[in-house]
Amino acid sequence: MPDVLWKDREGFAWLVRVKSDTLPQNYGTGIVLGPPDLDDLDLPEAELKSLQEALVVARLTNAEMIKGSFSKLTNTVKNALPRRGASAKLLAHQIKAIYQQDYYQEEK
Amino acid sequence: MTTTLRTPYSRVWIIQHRAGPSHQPVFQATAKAGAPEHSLGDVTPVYEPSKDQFGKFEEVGVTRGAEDRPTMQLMFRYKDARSAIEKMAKAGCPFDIQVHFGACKEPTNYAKGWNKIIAFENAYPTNYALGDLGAFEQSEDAAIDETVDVSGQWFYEIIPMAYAQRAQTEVAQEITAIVVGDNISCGECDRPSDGCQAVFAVSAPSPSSPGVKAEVIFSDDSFVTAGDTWVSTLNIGEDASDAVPMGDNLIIISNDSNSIHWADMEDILNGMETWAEVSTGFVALKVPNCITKASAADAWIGADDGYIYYTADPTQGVEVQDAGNATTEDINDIHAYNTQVVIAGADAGIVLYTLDGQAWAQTVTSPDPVNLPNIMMVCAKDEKTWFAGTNDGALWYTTNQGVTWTQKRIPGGDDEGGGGTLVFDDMKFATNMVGYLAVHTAVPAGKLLRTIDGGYSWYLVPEGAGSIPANDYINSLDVCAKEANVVFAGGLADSAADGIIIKGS
Repeated sequence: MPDVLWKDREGFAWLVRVKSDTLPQNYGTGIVLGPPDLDDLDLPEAELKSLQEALVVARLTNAEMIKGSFSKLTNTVKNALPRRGASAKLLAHQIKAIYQQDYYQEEK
Repeated sequence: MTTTLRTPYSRVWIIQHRAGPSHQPVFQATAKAGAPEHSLGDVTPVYEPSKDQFGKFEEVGVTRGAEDRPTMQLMFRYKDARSAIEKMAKAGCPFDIQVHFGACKEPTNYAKGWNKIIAFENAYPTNYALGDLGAFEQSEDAAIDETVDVSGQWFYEIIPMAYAQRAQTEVAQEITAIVVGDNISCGECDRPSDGCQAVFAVSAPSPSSPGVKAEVIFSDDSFVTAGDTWVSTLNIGEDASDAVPMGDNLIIISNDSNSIHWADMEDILNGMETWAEVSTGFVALKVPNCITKASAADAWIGADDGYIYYTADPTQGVEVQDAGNATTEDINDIHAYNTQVVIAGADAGIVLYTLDGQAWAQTVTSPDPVNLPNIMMVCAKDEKTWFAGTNDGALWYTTNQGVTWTQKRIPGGDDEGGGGTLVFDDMKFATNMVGYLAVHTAVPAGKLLRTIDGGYSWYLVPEGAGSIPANDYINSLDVCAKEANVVFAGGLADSAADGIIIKGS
């Protein structure tokens, strides 16, 4: 079952697991793998959409996927939000916190 | 640009009774050093009969002969005064030798008058000789020299070092401990290494918002590149307090979780580690703060309320070695010289020690019985010579296992007799002569010092112009096996939020 990028009606990207023969227009019926809700980042909607799509494209959508890849996560944030400059690292840190809280709360 | 060294540009210094905080290096104005030599052991081939040809043999391996002690000859102009050299040689006591090379510097400036040093440690005089004392004719008119042959333990180079921030992208939290988890290896059983490649730094993320798990920033190439992972067995908000490499494992202690967390170091480097938590033996509220090891099967942990734990196998747990009997003050730092001599620093001016690896007691006197500052850092340089750094601006040392203490003044803002604000954070010796010391001011601003004479004198690094990367403080230092010119430092960055790793080399 492939993991694909799916955009919802509002334009937010998600990593979705679908059956092999699923048509792109039906990707919304798949299982959403991530990312978790990133509203706590307090980003404008346009930036949040760009960031979320970049995370999905980079397959950095949950805690397990970013483990050992903080540098890649930071670079993904930098590329998605070039105007954020030096605060990209802080944003990456916040994303990691959200992912970990989501992942380890589920584990409990 | 490097320059070929030349013999006119060397000068000899001798540290009688070996380098230490009370032994001053003495400039030998009339000396020259001969050629040091170190036989590293013969190589003998091992043959077996050839499988391809009768009458022939194939080399299937080699055996190595034993290393010899390095040797060197020191030559001095013979004077009409009582010869200190003859006296020293015939006393037969070991001493340390340094040959300083410099071109455009002041030769008698011990700390700064050099570009490179050959350090010859633990030298025993094996022969003393004088040149011809008389002459038959005018052509034999010559200065008389005295010559001392010495046999040392080893010799090595000391060079000026540069300091740079490493793993800037990977480090996002304060570093609480940094350790070199590596040994010199030719690659027979392991990766080939100079003993300085595998380095691990652990973090304390709890002050950061939002909270994340404590991390391990690691490198298998001496922090040319770095990776990161987190300690999955620590909860979000629980800090790693200290760490030590033991055997194949990275051992982390946490004051917050009152337990040990460990994983295989090779697995960490390969990004496939599994973390395990062990709380067996830890007593409630007697939570660990610091850890030291003397071997792969001997480690001690200092904890709150004066508790000291011992473990021969941290993956199985710990046992209480001292249940707050020697002191009830919180222990801040602990350091093992070997499996017998271990010292610990606690609040209220307390220094604890054991001479058998088991029974603990307070030293006869406190380093500073007037101010009774918290002892933040301890370092056992040898069985009798110990350092204790405080949180009130004073570095103290003893050469008699704590019977008496003397203050060692350092540059960087210490206070005579204590009572100040400079905090001593960590000290590590790479060799008997070369060590590193981390301190921070009240601002806060972290500083790094180096000694090349066993702690007799300390100077702020770097040796040349410039400064080390700005930081609030350095929590932890570590050095590599048999390498005097590499140090790793971890702490809190100048931003007060980010962590920092500095490598000096």
